[in-house]
Amino acid sequence: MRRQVPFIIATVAGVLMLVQFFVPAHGMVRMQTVFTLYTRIIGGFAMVLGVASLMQVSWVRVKRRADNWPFALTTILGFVVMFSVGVLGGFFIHDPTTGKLTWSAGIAPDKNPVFGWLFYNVYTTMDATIFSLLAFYMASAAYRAMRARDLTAGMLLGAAIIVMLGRAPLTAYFWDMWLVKPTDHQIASLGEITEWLLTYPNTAATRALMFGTGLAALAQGVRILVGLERPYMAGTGD
Amino acid sequence: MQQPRKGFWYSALRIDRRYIFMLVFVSLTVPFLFPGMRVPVEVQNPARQVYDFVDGLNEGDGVLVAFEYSPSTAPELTPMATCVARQCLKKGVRVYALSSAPEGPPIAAEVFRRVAGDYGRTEGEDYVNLGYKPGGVQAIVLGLAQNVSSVFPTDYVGRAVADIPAMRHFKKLSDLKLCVALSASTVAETWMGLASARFGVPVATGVTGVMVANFYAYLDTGQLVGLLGGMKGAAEYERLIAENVDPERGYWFATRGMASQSASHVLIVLFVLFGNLAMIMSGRGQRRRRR
Amino acid sequence: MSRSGVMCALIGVCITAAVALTCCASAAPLAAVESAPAVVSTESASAPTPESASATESAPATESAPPPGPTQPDFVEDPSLSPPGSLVTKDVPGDEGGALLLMWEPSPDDTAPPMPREREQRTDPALKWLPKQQRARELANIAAAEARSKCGYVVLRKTSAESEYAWHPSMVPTGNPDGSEQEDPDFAGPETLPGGTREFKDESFVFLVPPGEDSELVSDKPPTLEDLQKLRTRRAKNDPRYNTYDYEVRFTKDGRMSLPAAVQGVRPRGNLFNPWWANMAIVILLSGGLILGFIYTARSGRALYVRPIAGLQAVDDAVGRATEMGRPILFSAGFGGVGDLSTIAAMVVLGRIARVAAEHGTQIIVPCLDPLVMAALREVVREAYMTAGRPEDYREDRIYFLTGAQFAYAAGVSGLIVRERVAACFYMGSFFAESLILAETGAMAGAIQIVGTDAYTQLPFFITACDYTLMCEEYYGASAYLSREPRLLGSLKGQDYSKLIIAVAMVASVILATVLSRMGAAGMAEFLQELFHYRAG
Repeated sequence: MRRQVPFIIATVAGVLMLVQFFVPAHGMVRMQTVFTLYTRIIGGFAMVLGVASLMQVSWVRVKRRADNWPFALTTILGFVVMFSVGVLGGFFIHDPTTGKLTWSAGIAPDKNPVFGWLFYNVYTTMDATIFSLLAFYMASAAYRAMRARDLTAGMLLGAAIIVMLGRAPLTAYFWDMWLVKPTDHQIASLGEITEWLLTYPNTAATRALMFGTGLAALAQGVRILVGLERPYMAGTGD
Repeated sequence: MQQPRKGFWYSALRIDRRYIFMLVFVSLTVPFLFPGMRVPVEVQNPARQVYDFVDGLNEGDGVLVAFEYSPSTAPELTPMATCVARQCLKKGVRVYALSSAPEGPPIAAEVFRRVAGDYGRTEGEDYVNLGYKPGGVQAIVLGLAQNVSSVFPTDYVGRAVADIPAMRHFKKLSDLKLCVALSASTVAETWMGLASARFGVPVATGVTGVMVANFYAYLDTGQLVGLLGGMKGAAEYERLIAENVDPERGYWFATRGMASQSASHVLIVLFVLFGNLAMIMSGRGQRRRRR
Repeated sequence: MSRSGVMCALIGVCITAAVALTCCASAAPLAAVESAPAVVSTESASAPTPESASATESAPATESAPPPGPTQPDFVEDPSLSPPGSLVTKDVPGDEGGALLLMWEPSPDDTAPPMPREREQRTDPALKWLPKQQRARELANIAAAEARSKCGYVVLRKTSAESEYAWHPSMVPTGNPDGSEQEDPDFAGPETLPGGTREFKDESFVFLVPPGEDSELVSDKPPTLEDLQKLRTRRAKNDPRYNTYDYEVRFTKDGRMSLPAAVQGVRPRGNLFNPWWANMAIVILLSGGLILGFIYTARSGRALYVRPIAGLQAVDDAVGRATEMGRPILFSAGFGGVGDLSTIAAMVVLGRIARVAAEHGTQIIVPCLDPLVMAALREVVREAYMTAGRPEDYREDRIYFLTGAQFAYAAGVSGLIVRERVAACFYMGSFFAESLILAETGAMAGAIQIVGTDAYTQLPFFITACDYTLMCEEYYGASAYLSREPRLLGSLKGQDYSKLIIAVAMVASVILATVLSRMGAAGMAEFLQELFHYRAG
């Protein structure tokens, strides 16, 4: 039974959700709504689990003065500061109608200015900084890897250059000025060529990948439903 | 055996990354020193389709904007949200904002703060920020299809939706005329797959430039009514807004970024061409030395 | 089939039936709300019937200003205007029971060109090849250009228990202590349609949710139980599970309205199957059946050929390299949740990698983006160490939750790669914009990198910066490839044959549709097009 009960639960739930997709009756939709409500509740509790894990790992590193322990300490301090400001900030909201300090939902920037300042000036800035690394990494990756070693690589390179220049308005503008208008629109604009590449060859390739991925996902789902793969049994020796 | 002589082209193939990073930095930042520089942007069909669809809505219709992104991608996606909000609020179309990411609601609040006052629109009457709900996009969309108040019983600032006048016109997903999903991940696909394909609500999407190639397939089949791709898509929409809706406030952040984007794209193309030239020349040099 | 298999099947059927019955029961009318008709009929018991109401209401309109009220019509009734003909209702197929279609023949006095019904649009030569949005604009132009300002139709609805049609919302208490009132926010008012319209889809039904899921109880001024009961009774008027409905359609022109075309006692019904998705169901059944068939035939143990996948063959080499260098390996399961198939595939691959790492004595670091995924991956790695006979080497603190934010995760993993000097990086799962940050950092650190992902938009970045890339279906087939179990390999065969069938069907349909349209059989071509079309429910 220890092996069979999880299998039954997984298979029944999987088949039910598959059938529910095609059955629009209210009872089935209600069932799906209830299950998704459970997912939302579990998602909220899962965050507690994750934070506890992170704090425990970081604290152990700090206590043992392990390698790079200051980073672990920074993690703990960052969590404590944001949590405190967000929760405690709600206790010090000035209610304009009564003139007293009161507790409120304390993370909206206008309700909790300190949290808002930290969010916009610290978190937002750091998040954008990491994303901006992409620009530099893309340039170095492009220089290193985009080489026309054979015909297909050359075609890829040509298409990439056209799309890159087409998505840059300045080059598209000069293309129009020097090639399109003098020839009375006999030559397509760079934007139109780019859109054609994205709409036809790119879409064809993307659809092929989507088909393959979809069928592979279907096959994996079938394997899980019939019990050939049991990822939910991890840790039980099965 | 003799070692090949290391010439200029050999070194060029192995150039230190930091030189590339420095040149990219210069190309990205110098255009911002000239704030008045505006690069003309040619509007393409995917962005125009979004504009046309919103233009076809009537006063009193409802549009949902899903802020499914974090501040890191805000420079690309917030201009799209601003344009949608501007076009809708000017026409008297109600705008509802929500998010499955915790960073989404403050961004939505900022967009409304910037735009709503320009057209005399008030929160609760003309626009609502419903806030954030954990549990994933799928759970949110399925719940909205049934009953909005079961997913969002209060808005972002804690007001009950029963007390919000605008929410009388948005009780379930099918009350809306358009969903605009702004995302830096495949969350937009989930919105499209559920809201459009399952519940028949038209969906337009705005994604970062990296993701845009993925969504042309959906645009082609009509599963999306329009597509805004990256900062260029946002700049195209800003141009449409500036020419047709609000000439004074239409051009904003995305248009300003086009000069920088153009410079960096040209630089990367030059890098690629130079790298290929170095590959060819260093290959010729090696063949000559072998002979 | 063995006895235990039969028992499992029976238990499964019983659980399925129990859950389905429970959900249908939860959708059934609540006893308290069944008193709604009595409440409503008491309020309107003395009100006249609809026909006599309209006759009496039309008279005061010509003599003096009528008193304001919810049943005061916006138009003056004029029997000389011809009413619309043959009003029928039809349940909208394939929905939950929240929509009803009304169809009628236009009034003889309607001067606008009749707009084709939704069904007819697909055969109308002027409309059928247009995309959906353009078709909507064309239809709007037909109505607006010709008839919107001249005439039209008005559709009214009431529950069968009510006696009069409401034209305007009634005033209801707001629940404030001052006793103030507001217009009923749940009022489903009359629909005004342009001339030429011949159908109307009523989608204003709203299913009541259980009280705990509604917003009333979280208001700043929570209502009393009695107020809540009244509110739900009022809202129940829009719930098709509790009522039947009467409809009236009247033709309007120049402020006047005709006598009604009416229908009584109708309600929308939920359907058991969505016919618009029959094609999808057939494809799923066909593909699933093929996959199951090949799994069954593979039980015979016949060796099935699967082409070599370099990335999976390199897993052992990568772990061995890390062992020789004395450095750890890093595994990232991507951005999916615990229910995503890409994460499940990652768990299978991690089990294999962790077992090899345990056998070699190599440390494995698994930073996670989702706490539930972290819990699952801990179990996978623990089992792998136990299978390898090294349970004492398992360190739970090496599999931990890092952060839930996308770029914070990228920054954290990048820092890990550099500080821990990992020798091998495995990225398995769904990745988005942070993919290049991870891959470039690993490349700069000199680590061997193996990627498996279903995110095809990130493939160019991974291919550029990583040593081996498993693309989409190669990644999903990793579990079968690594285990080499015949039944799993059989499922790969079934998947490939499904793809072949779909590809052949697509190519054949495209050729056939092209040939048919050239030959003038456009209807047949459109039928083929509709065969693969996926319509919203």
